Amino acid sequence: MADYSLLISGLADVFTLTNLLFIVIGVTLGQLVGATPGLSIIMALAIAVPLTYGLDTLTAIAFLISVNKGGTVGGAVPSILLNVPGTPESAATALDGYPMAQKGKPMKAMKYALYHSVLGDLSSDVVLILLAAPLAVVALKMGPVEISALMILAFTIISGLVGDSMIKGLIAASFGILLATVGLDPGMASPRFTFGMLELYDGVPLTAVSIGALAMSGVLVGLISLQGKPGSQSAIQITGRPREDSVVTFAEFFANRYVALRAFIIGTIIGAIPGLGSTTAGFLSYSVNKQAAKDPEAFGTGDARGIAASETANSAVVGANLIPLLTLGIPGNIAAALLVSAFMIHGMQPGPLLFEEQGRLIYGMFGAMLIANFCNLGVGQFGMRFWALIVSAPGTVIYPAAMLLCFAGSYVITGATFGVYVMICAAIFGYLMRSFGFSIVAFIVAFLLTPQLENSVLKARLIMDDDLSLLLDHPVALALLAMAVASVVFLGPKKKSRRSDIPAATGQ
Amino acid sequence: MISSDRLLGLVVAGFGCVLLVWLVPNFVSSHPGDPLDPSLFPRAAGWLITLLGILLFLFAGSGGSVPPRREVLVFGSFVVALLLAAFWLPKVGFLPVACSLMVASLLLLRERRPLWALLTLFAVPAFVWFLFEVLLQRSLS
Repeated sequence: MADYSLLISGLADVFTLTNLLFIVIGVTLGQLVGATPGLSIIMALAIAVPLTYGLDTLTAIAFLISVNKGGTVGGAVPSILLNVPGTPESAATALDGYPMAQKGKPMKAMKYALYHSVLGDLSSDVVLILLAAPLAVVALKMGPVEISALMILAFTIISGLVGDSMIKGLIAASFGILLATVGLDPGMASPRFTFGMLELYDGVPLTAVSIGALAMSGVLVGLISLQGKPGSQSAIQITGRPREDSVVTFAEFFANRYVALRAFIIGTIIGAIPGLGSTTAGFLSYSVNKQAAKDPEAFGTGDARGIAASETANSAVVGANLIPLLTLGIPGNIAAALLVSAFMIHGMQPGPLLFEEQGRLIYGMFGAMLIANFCNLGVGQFGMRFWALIVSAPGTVIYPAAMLLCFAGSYVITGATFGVYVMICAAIFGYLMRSFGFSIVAFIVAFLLTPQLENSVLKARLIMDDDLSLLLDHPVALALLAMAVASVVFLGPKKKSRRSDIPAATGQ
Repeated sequence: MISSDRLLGLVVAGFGCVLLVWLVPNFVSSHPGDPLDPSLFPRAAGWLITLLGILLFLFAGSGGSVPPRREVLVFGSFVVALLLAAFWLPKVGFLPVACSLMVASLLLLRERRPLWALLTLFAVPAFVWFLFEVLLQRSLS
């Protein structure tokens, strides 16, 4: 039977002035970063993790989740006003958002995006809240053998679904595994690859690696692209429009209910599958809704259904991608992986035990997620005009500011320049990975999951005494391993054709 | 001409061999047969990297390309600026280092608009310093 007192006390924990303030700040920061072309939610999250060091666990998690949610909303602004997605997640929004803005309704397009984004996000949060605890109970029945097999499956699926090729994805994951072995080993506590450096005995700091590989490498790529052309981009102006072109009535919003429903289902399912993300959800939903429409030719000409399809789906991923994280300890995408690093910093180990050991905190987090959705609506409602100005800010201010935030953030992780050096090395590695088509997501997720995998393998070997025939006593593990092999066989060769569809669909 | 993926495959496989032959034996203690063997995962990673490198060499695609020399030079300049900033941070403190880093960025980006340049040069370091040192109480030096 559900422990309702735990649920209520957890939800009540969010209602402190500090938590509410950090939720509003997080949402605002997320929307601001999302609205800034060139900066991504991932960058915002990577930079925001060190900001939470001095905060309470719930406040920190609430803040980071709010940044993530805010970024999804903000990303639509440059898609609509510039035809340049603020975040990859919003790329599909540009297909109809920009034409609608060109028709003289930029504010209306942004409002459509905001309302459907909040709707998708809120709905998937409800699914998460309803499903996570029962799934965690099932996951608790898994032993080390099954968990090891599950991790291997997660590696192969993520490597297969992201990046240019399966082989490159697996290479990236292998480098993640290798990097995670630096430090004291979990069995005998003997040093590995520490080269006599005491700082490495605790392993390579995850946050510094995340900031370097995800944020700083992206910032440096942005700085390179700006070199010699520091001018601002001219956005469609939002002022001086008639009121009917700036508001979305309830009837207009309700008219897209079936589109939103389909988009929500697609976004939630895609969010729950590790490796797929908001960008895929946005495009898939757009495509499905276009095919389902009686007048598909209207899509791409400034149709509100296109915005609703993309924004509802990409936001529905945000809540759903926490399902594998909270139930199995496997981050569904890179944003979830960054949340894991924050969980670990604050002494939480993601996985099914979270509900048993820190149930109150998890319900507090759920409460924060629900509140953040309403804050997203409020901040977006009033902030859209301001974000419309932000999209024109020059990269010569934005990228150096992001670079300095990465620099300072990686310093405070270790309280010494060691964190900065690790971040710079990770940035170089991330830049090379981007340049040569290796998946940073597979690298980071493998780096993150390897300590858990190593512990599970260690326990599994002790249980089975290295007798592989005992695997036959673990049918679930066998099934998971078979799925891992199948994912390599089926996902690998199909990648190229599937990936090549997306640029064609966007016209970019 | 050899494709970049094929070359990458060779580099990756070569690194895997170095890992297996030199790095793991010299920098990880090994207890073969023991379930707690610390070298199990490093060796597994080494084998994976080697085999996948060979596969990449054999089945090279067209994904990824060598960045242009100019881009690599700019990237290298920013990395050097960051390394210098990290080196000088404990010696001179955050604000001078941050302002110097901003100057380097402005020079590399060839920003000529005085208002934006001043904003980048002074307001950005001041904002980051205020955020960490004052609001979050995290020391930056």
